[in-house]
Amino acid sequence: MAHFSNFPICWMFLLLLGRSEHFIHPVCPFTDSECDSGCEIQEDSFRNAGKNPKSCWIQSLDQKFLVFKAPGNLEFESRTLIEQKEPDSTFSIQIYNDTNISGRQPVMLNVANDGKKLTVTCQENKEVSAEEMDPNGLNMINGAGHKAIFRWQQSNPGKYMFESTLFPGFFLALEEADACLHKLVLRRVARDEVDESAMFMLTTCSS
Amino acid sequence: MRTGFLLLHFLLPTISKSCFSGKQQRKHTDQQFQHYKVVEGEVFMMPCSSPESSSTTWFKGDESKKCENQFVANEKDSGTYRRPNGSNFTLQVIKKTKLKCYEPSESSAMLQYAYPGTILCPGHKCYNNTAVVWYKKNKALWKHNRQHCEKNGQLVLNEVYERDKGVFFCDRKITEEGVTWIFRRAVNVTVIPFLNPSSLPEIMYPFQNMTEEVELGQPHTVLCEVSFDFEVNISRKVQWFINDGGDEEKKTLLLMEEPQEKRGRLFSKVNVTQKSIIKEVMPQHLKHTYTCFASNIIGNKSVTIKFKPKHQEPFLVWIPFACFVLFAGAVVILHVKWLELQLIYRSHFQLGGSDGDEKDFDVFVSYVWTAPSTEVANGLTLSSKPYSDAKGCVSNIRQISEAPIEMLLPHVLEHQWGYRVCLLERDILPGGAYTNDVVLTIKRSRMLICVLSAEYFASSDAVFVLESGVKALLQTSAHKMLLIWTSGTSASFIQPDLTVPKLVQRAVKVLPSLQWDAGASYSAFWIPLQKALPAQEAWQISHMQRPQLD
Repeated sequence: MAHFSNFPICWMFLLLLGRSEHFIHPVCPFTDSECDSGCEIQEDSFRNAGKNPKSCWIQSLDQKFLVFKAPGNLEFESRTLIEQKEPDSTFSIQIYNDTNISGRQPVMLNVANDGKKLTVTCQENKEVSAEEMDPNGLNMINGAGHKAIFRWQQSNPGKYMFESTLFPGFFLALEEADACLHKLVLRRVARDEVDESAMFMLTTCSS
Repeated sequence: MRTGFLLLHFLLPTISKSCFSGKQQRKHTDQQFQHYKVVEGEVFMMPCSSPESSSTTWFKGDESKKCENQFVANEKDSGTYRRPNGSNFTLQVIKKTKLKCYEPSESSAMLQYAYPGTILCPGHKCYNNTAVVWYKKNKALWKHNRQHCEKNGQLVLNEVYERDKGVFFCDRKITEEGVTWIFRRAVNVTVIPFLNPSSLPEIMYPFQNMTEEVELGQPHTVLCEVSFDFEVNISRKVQWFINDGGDEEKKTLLLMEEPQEKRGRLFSKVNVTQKSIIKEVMPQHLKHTYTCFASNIIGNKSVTIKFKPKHQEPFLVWIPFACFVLFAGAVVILHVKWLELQLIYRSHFQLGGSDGDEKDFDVFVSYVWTAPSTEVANGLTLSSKPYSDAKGCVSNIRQISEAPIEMLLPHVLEHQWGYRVCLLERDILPGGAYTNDVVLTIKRSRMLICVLSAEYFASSDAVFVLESGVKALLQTSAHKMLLIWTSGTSASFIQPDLTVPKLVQRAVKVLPSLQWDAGASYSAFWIPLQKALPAQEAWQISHMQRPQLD
């Protein structure tokens, strides 16, 4: 039995009705190389807002600076006025839009090193590091969560928390591995709990 | 929410700065106690052996309560609770009257966020305040990553956050008859952005001088949305006023519904929606103005709007218009096509009953037929014997089948079906005025059949017969008409150059008609013809047989 889509006039009719999906193969709109779901449109997704990123210092409440340490570590340390101007302590915050209206803005944190742009990411073991990512795949990101996307929220004036979209309920936090090593980690924080090690100040931000 | 006991940082200037220096030293152990006391009516939290064991369930008889479960204690909650692993604890619920001291206000605290805050453990004045351990949920405060101080029964927070809202528990150790009890008290903490508002109300909707569309005769709701600063002691108010004639000096309060409040997007804002319903909008409402007035302790703001009649829905406009158009169209059609409508009605729907006079003829047949040559005419002469003479009819088989309808029709009607047929050239006495004869004959006949052909329309006399028949039909329903179109003719046959009256041109399009073709079958012509003929007397019906054509 001939299918109606075999007849040109049916095509025209359907086109007029705007029901082209009957005979047009859906085109994958995404170019993200990490989109491994076969170009299926996810319910949630993140899109680069296209705004200029903000360049800030990220400091813990005890005023230590978040810095990039090769090959990919992120630690907090005290810095002199001169050291503060080093590029390894300047983080650009790229704003994203998403389909999930949660009131908390998704952002990506990047830092420059040797001419390369490194992105703060969280791993399956909840470790946090900075790695180089394919910029082509970062304009549109599928899915409800991504290792490089965090939702930032203000806990108090001047203090911010960054919740992982890949691990909801886990926040970027400072952990004192020992007296000298203060690492950036991912830590679980309950909704009604105050954890000041998961709060950061963003200072000297510029667009 | 109960008004709380508000003890802010500025009432306790003696808090030592060293209280916040560095992390709290671990002073307490995660000890599992076996005896708990709680005040009746206060919130109690079931103990957990560790923060991670939130799935632990305690059982008392048929009851079960999960670890971290919070509930308002009453006497029936007293008893021993056990876990499947064998551990247990005893809960004793104490009446307030048994306490050494009791201040209801100590059960709640209101803290301002972004500032330091202090919470006192209830019973602070009369119970031992050393070694008080504070909990939020199942986690001791000294384990929280935040700057705070626990000293002398006080919990001092270096900075209050919005997340601090909820119940804090303070545990005191009490020894009674050698038994160590944990006396657990609860403080319900609310976090406020500030004590007093600092800005005026902001009217989000409507806009100043806006005009709202209203429907006369229908109810209308006016709505005002205002954003206020948070307040502890609520002074905010939103009201609707009607200004008589637009004069705000002559304002009257409108009847309003209960205001709806919800927290704004910002922690420090409250949105209020105030509605007022006008039960029925009258024309005089259009002359007034309406003011939304919002106020708090800082000041007030207002917005004034007015009404205008709503643009009528197309539905309400177009239906009457469409009806009017339809009616006008119907009137035009009736006017233009009145003749046709009359003819249709009289021909098809009226039975053509007798008007009281007895008719001389049943059928008046009008036709124009030019006789051919003599030979042919002789061959075509139909038997004029009475219809009862079947033999006579049979002997003319071949002749009849070849005869034109102008000859055939009168023969069949008269001799075979027994109708009284009038033929002008035969039955009307010569000498009179043709027009009078035609009109009179039509009157004397029950039905007029016109056999239409090119020759017919070319004959003014024949056309006169047709026209007179139409006029007679318009005058009385006792008269019937039938047109028989011969081969090559139809209602559209009439050419503009033919001198056929307009009345006739219009009438032939709607009058009952049959099409005659030489090869027309019996069922295609003769049966319909029989049905169209006027009713016969009984003796005529018995002889109304199929025309003998072959």
